[in-house]
Amino acid sequence: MPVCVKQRASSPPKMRSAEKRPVSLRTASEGHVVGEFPALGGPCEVLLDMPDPEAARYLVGLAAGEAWRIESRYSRYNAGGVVHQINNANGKPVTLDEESGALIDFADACHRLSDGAFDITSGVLRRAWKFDGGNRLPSPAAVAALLPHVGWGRAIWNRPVLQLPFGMEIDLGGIGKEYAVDQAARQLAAAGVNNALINFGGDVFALGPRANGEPWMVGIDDPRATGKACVRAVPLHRGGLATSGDARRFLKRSGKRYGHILNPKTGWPVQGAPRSVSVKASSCIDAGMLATFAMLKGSDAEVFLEAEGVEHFIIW
Amino acid sequence: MVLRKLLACLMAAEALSGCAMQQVQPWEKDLMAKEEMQLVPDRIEEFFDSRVFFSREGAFGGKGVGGGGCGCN
Amino acid sequence: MQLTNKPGNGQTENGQPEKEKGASVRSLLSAASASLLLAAPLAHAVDASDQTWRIDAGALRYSERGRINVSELNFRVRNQLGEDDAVSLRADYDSVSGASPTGAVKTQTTSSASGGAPTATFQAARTAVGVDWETSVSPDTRLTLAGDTSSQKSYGSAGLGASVARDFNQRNTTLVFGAGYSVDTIRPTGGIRAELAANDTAPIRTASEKKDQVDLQLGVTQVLTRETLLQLNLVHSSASGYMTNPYKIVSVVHPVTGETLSYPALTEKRPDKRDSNALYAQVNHAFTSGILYSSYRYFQDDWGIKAHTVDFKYRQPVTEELYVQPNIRMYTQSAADFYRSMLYNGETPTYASADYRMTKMHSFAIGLKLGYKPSSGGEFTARVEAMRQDGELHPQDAIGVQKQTDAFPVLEAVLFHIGYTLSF
Repeated sequence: MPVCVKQRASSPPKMRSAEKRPVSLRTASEGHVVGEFPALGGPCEVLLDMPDPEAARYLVGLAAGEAWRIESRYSRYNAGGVVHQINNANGKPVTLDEESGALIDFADACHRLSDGAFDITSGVLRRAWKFDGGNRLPSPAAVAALLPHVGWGRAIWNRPVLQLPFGMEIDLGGIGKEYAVDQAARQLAAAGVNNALINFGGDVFALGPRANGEPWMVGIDDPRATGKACVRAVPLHRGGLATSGDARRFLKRSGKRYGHILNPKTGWPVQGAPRSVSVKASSCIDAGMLATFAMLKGSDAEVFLEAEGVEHFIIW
Repeated sequence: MVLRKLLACLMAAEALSGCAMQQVQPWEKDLMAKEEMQLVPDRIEEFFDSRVFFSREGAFGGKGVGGGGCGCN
Repeated sequence: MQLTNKPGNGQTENGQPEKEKGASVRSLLSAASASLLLAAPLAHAVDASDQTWRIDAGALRYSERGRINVSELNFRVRNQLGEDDAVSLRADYDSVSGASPTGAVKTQTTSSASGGAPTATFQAARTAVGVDWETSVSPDTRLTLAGDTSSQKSYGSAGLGASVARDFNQRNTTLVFGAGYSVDTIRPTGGIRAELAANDTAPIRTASEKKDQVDLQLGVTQVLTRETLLQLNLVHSSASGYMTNPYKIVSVVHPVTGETLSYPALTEKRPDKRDSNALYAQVNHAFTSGILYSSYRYFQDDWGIKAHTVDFKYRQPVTEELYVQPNIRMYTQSAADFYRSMLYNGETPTYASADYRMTKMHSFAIGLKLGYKPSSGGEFTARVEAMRQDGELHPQDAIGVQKQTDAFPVLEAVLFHIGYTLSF
């Protein structure tokens, strides 16, 4: 019998500072071990098909350690982290380490591949937009006032040196969780694991099928009843699965729905974007970026994903 | 032959350990990988001890081969 | 709510890649993500295999009450020459001085029990060097070749060894086959006295003597559980040549009174062949915080010596950086067939030795080690160990006045050892 894992539409993590964070372990009725811990702004779980809870505890700890390491380095809120350092450089250049440089390179590539739609500097727009399910839209003037501080093209990036103009910020929330999933998967793979599933707040990677050869069943969250219902169960043998969506984060005004996916060029939500896009790809980060790119295409999301030839599930 | 008896002993122990125990998986080797879990965690301690006891007792060896004699008095 | 669901044309359910069809963003993305994911090191990659060099250095001071003192320095360096090869060099220097029991009985003509056993004083310095080469023959097979040589004024030794270790059962089982060969050369100052001849008038040979030894090892290491490691070793040694200790003598006493009178003591004589077997078992067990090392050795040889050794060490972390390791060791052996605490005047034995190492005896050692591993790297250790050997003070073959004397030279020794290890 396949295992169902609920996958929520991912939201940019609200990273928590270091507090007491437990790893809890339980054995599911299906026989696999489920390790749970909070990280990257949400619940995380690692599913391991092995009988020995002690070994499972070690492996879950390995994955959790990676999640917490990435969270502490790349959370905007962690004053000791790299992103905080970049955002508080006040226009001065910052020299990055190898891993951070690779992340910025990747974000730079995503900016190019999405024709500027994916932009790690667009987080500044959140000062105007409060996606709380209410109906208060920002004034066009308030949005326009922020636009000069948005645009990756304004940053000077010569790896390993990054210089942001004064007043600009970056936010790796759109990459970090998927990146953490893939890095945790690398850790587990290096430890010899080949029957496990990693799910960090809805971003998923399977390191191989269950021990009996059956796929893990990943449930796609119903954006209308998030956390309560699954609209579909997706079998996953190996590889990444990520979902991008607006779940609870949208505004409604005069019957019109404003999703939380913002166009960095206009500062306004992308029109006609689906409620949720799920994509399967060889890695979690590929799946996550393709889902995000599709959201940014608005009503063309499906056309884009079909042209890319990836397996996908869209909820409009 | 004592040698044959010892060999039989060794084989029996090996068969026991092979059948009765569940295979330890690669990801369960975190403890085994530690330096202090190696067969000889401190090589110099091992060396000094073997020298002292070799030169003061009639029995010797058992841990391996190699290493020249020492002509200890 | 409208749900669309389109299987991709790029990947099948099992993740098998199909033919690309103009998937430009996807393929460029996956190239970018591949280089991203490889940029970060694996978090737990900082193990010993990552480090190229390892240095061990140690100094020992070993002192026996009323007998010898040994000062010894040991240094070894290991260099990983890539994935598959490593070379180690060892150098060892020691200096021994003091007195060693000759094997002679204590008394001459009186029955006084006072005073220690007769000893001979000596001084010797020894240097030894060795080299090991370890190489991977295949992913689960390792070959080690070793060579070493040592020399002191009256004794030289050279040895070669080879062993092959092969892993089975997902590296839970390792089988080891080893073979070693060594040659010792004995050339005492002033020549070698004829055996079982009067110590003071014996003819002296100036040629050196040789002894060679072949060791064969069959071993298995088994990971029993996540916490427990077992090693079983069987080592057979076959030695031939000159194994007499040219400095040891056997007293000759009157067959009735036990008095030594004016009988000269004889130089000892041992067989020129010795076959021995040692069965060694070691278990390392990790508890929640500490590690217990237990070992047992059974030894027997065709000289008639049977010996049991048990050894326990327990390593307990005190802080992140500090650990303590108490240890205890017990040893007991039976006498060699040719052991004689004394000879009776007129006897002509084939072999005889009064060396305390050939008699029935037991020894007990207890020690404590402190280890300090600063987070900056390296490890310092300091160890102290006390040892005591006891034997039969009144052996059955003692006669007459010899029954009143203490035949066994009780040994009490203290060992201090400091060490330093660094990997980089």
